[in-house]
Amino acid sequence: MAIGAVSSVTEKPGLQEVEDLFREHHELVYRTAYSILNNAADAEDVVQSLFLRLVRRQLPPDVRTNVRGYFYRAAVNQALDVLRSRRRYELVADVESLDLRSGSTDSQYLAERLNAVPLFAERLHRQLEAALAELSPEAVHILVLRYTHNYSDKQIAALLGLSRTAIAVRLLRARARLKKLMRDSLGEE
Amino acid sequence: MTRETFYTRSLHAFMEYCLGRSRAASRAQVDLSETRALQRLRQDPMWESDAPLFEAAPSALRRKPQGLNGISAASTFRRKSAARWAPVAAAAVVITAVVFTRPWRNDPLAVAIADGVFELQDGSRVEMHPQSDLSFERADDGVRIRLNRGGIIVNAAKQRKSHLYVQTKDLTASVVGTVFLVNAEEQGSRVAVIEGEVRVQQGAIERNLRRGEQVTSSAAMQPQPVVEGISWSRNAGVLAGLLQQSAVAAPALATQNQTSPRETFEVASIRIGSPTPSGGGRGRPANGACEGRIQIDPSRVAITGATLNYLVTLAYGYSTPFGDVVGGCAGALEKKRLSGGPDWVGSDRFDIEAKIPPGPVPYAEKVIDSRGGVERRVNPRLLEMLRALLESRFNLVVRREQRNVPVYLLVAAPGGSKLTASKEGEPAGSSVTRNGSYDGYKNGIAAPKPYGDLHVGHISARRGTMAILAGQIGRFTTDRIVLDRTGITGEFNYELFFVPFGPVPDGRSPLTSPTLEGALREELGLELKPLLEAVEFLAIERVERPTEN
Repeated sequence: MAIGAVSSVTEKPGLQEVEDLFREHHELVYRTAYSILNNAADAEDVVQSLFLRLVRRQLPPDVRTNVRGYFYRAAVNQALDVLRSRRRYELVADVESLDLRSGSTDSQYLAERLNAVPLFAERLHRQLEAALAELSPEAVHILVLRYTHNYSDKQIAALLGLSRTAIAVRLLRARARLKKLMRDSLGEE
Repeated sequence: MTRETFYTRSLHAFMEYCLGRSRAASRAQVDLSETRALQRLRQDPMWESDAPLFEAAPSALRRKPQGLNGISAASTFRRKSAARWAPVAAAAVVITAVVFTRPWRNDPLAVAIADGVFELQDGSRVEMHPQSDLSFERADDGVRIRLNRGGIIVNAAKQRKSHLYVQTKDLTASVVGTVFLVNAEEQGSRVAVIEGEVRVQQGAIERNLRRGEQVTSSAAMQPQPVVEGISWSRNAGVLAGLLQQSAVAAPALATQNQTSPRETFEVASIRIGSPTPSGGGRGRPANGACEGRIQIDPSRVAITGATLNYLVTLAYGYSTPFGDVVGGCAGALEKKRLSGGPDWVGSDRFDIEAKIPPGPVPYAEKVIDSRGGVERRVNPRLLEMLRALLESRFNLVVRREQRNVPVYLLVAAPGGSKLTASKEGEPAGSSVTRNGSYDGYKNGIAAPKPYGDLHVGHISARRGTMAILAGQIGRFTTDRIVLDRTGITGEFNYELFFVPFGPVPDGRSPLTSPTLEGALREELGLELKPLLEAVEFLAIERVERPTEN
């Protein structure tokens, strides 16, 4: 066949569908898992285990109505399981190294400052991972869609099957909860 | 310490940083993950199932097949550069149109799916190094890639009935399902396995290679770390990650890694000395676990009072007689880059005298490095002789693994380095203090005491190299190795004071500024960049005390 590997499974409709679903949603699953786990090998494990369910016909019946939403939620949940199972250890890093009080609140500015003190930036990443592991899966679903995939409230609502108002309220709560967790982890007043 | 930090007041920016750009997977990572995951899924027994996922599949889920550039049998490709590639891709599009209308005749062997990347009918992918020359041919039982010049990385799908061959002028590699690198050079050919297993045939000799192993067809070709061989790939990071998995499956590195005969010392004598006292603590190696001295002249190597830990790190390039490389032997033990073996590998001492065979190879301490600077190092061929000696006399078997681990790269800051060159003939020395009072001496020489009784972190050296500095900084990074990527050669004098690491005893005050990163940047014009990088680890699998002669 002229189209090589892609054509090799066309004679079996079920199989073609598996491959189509895989190719269509792989990137979403991989990028979502990667953004939470910050590790390519762990993200690949998430991809593998999720799509193995597909190959083995173990998907819940409601998947048909919102396949993308299913894979997204499953990716976040699986990544959170990995995050919670990770061994935690304190990184030796000095917090006072980062004087950001007078700086702009622009994320680019923050990135530049944090990149200049990688030990501290790594500590922040770990604190964030610990905080994400404490949040409800639904809160993480919304936060990752907003900050990793840059989805609008409307897009998040469509993917998760909720109203825009519900998304706005839940995003507000998720951010407040995260802020509290981060503040507690640093012992801030 | 500020208790009101930026990110709790501007959570939005913080989240964008932490979940966005700084943690985004690259395009190459996504692509390779897709290929690998699909290959694994295809190996699942249920993959062949005819059972539909849904009774009536939603039409929105179906995708139209994407246009691919088909390549007919026995096509030859030369990849000189991206600019030269464009007309080839254009020509391939034309071929596609013809082949697509006659699908059952003249099946293409491979399709070009990106610049320098081909996909075979079975899903195998071939990535060409620039300046390469290859052709695809139909073999009796599969496909043969003839590599005339340059390098390729083959990500082979599982071969059910057929075979995939890569042929160079002097060897043939055949695979079942694996990822491997082939180079065809003037001096000979090299095959290195990244994942899986490859059978290599050179004349009448056949060998199976596993992950992390490589073979060269000519003694003139120096062994090259596999991770260096794949560095040109657009998926280098992910391929390096595959190598990391060789931790489980990689066989011991032994003499058969090359088909050419190994170089050995002409004569070698070993004498067993008295054990060193144990000790250490706080995660540090036991006292003396890394002791040893080495002297090299053009005809002789003399090593005295050396532990096996020292000998192994020396033989594998982790230590040098001229200063630590990435923390040297002690750093290798601390960061678990060297592990395994009985207790005596860190306590028993050995004296070794070995005669270097005559030949044109220079064993001088100073060599011109690839950047044109002068660098002191032991000739790699001498290290190969030392490895051969350890394997034959100590029955040493070392497993060598590549793992993708978080590291810090020591690099020059944007404004350039501010290093002060050492003077010729200055005494060499270095010191590190994680958290202590500064005693007014540096490297044994009285110096001003700028910080009174404050507790400080401290790094200093005379005639220090960037590799030595990286090793010193590594003492402060609890879980990351620090690698020198400054590109700066030569010897320098430096001294840094910074915020101490760990709690300060009651009644003592710590230095509050600058941090280690700040001091590096301000005083030396250097920076640390966090990165995931493939790093080699050594594990002693077997070793025996040698008999004296």
